[in-house]
Amino acid sequence: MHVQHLTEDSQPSGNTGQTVAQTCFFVGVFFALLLLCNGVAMYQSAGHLEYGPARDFWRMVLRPVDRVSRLTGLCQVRGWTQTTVGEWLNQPNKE
Amino acid sequence: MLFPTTVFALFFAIVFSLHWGLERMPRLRKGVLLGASLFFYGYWSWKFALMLFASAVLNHAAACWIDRTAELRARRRGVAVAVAANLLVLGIFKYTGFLFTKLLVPLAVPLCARFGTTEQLITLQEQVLPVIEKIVLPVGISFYTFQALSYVADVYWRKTPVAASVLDFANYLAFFPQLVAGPIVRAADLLPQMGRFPDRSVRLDTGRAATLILGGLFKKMVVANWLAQHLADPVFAMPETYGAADLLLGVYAYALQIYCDFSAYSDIAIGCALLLGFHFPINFHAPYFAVTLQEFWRRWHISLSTWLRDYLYIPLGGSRGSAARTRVNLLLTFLLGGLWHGAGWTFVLWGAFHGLYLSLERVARRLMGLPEKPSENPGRLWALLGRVWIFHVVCFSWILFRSSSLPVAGELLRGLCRWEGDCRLLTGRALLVLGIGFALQLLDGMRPRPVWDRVNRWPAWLQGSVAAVILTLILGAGPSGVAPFIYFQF
Repeated sequence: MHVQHLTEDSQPSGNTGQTVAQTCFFVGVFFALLLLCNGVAMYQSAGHLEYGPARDFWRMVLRPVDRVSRLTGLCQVRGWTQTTVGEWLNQPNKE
Repeated sequence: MLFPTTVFALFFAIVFSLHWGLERMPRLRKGVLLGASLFFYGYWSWKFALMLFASAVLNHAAACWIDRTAELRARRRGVAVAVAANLLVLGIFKYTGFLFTKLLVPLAVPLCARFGTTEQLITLQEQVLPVIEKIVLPVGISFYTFQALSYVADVYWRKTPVAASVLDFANYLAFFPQLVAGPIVRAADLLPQMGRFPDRSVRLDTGRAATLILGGLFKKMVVANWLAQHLADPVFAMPETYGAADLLLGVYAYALQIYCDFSAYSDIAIGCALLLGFHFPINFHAPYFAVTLQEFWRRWHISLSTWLRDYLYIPLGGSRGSAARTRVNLLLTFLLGGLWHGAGWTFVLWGAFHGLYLSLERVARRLMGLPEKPSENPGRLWALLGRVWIFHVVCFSWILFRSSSLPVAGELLRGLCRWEGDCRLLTGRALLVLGIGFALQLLDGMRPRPVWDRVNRWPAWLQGSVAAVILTLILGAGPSGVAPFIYFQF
């Protein structure tokens, strides 16, 4: 850890960086899969919003995502993490 | 708009698409980026966005005038007016309450009692306090004010050319990834990038961007939030109810919480900027591995410490004068650095502590004949001892920084000194999260370059899939709810 390099920025070595088109594809896949893995949780949290047009809008938008998420089983990733690691880690302090 | 939210994810997806989709329309592309940044900021309040835009226009106008003016005295007057105006705005929003309630009133009370005008003072307080309470501190004002100040000063010193247009400068000042909590990027670094936006010929470091964003989200959503919720917040809220071991655990937890919280913001900001083709310098580099406090400040919030060095410490004279003068300069720089963090005596004392310790460290190193740069092979044992010592020195200073008031800090320190009471907070989970928080420093800086390069070689679909699954795991493991970043309040 050399102090003199602390503020240096670095470029990917050689030609290993992704092109803009590849990056767009990467971001697209990321958001699509993220939506499918978290569709159920997002739909549930939209249900916790205050009653009103915003809640109705988000529930309407997220309902199909919720269905696809359940259908593909991708919601299991988050559900499993929550019920294992999440619940163990976030249990309240015993006082 | 907070980074770890659905709204930000949606916002970023739209901005990313427009930014690369409008590549052939450079002026529109710049306008869209500025509009997005103002929308991001205006999501808190449209008044904040207006203020930011006004700051951009006025600072750019001042810089243009300074640049055009040949006469030195007039230039000096120009820069003085611009600096004073920026500091005045910052002062009104950030320090009015502190100056009135913590400085003027306590000073006026004995005087009024002596001259029999206490009633007038109470009436004045009744009139002024409601006005002060209405002042809302715009999020991130300290950060963008410092960026604007550095730009005006650099133009005055002819270190950086004036921005080609107000649009370029506004994009530099308001660029949404770093707008609210830094890094404080210098005009010389970011302004040229705002002048010529990246085109499709660039290769983007997606491996680094994804690692920084996901690492940042893990630091913030899992580690920092857990440490705050389970250890630091309860201990600092009621230190009198905890034993010394719990208090110590709470202080360690806060040290790692603030590191994970703040460096997470910087990492996410750097990662988001990278995906848009912009480069920021790093802001953290394993700060708790520092052997001296001087080295700590070269590793912690690097953009602020270098800012204070270049625009305050060096203009004050730096280390060019006598040893005594250098110590005064250090103390002044850190006092103001403390005050920059927040309007309160705890922050002033925190700054004073760092300034004094750094002065003493300089004297001690000189007396012991040690090299100026502390990391130059101090020997393994000395390095280890130095790291442990400096970590505890910094932890001590965090007590001042985190405590809501001086009596709370005093209570916590008294509890630590008494060293009694039982230990209720020490659990396996606490040790695990503390250990992870400390170890995450190993990912700072350029150390993970080989990992980024390897990820860069993966096909885009694999990168996207792995990133989405990792983020889902982070979301599942973290506590529910979204806590704001600590540095938003500064």
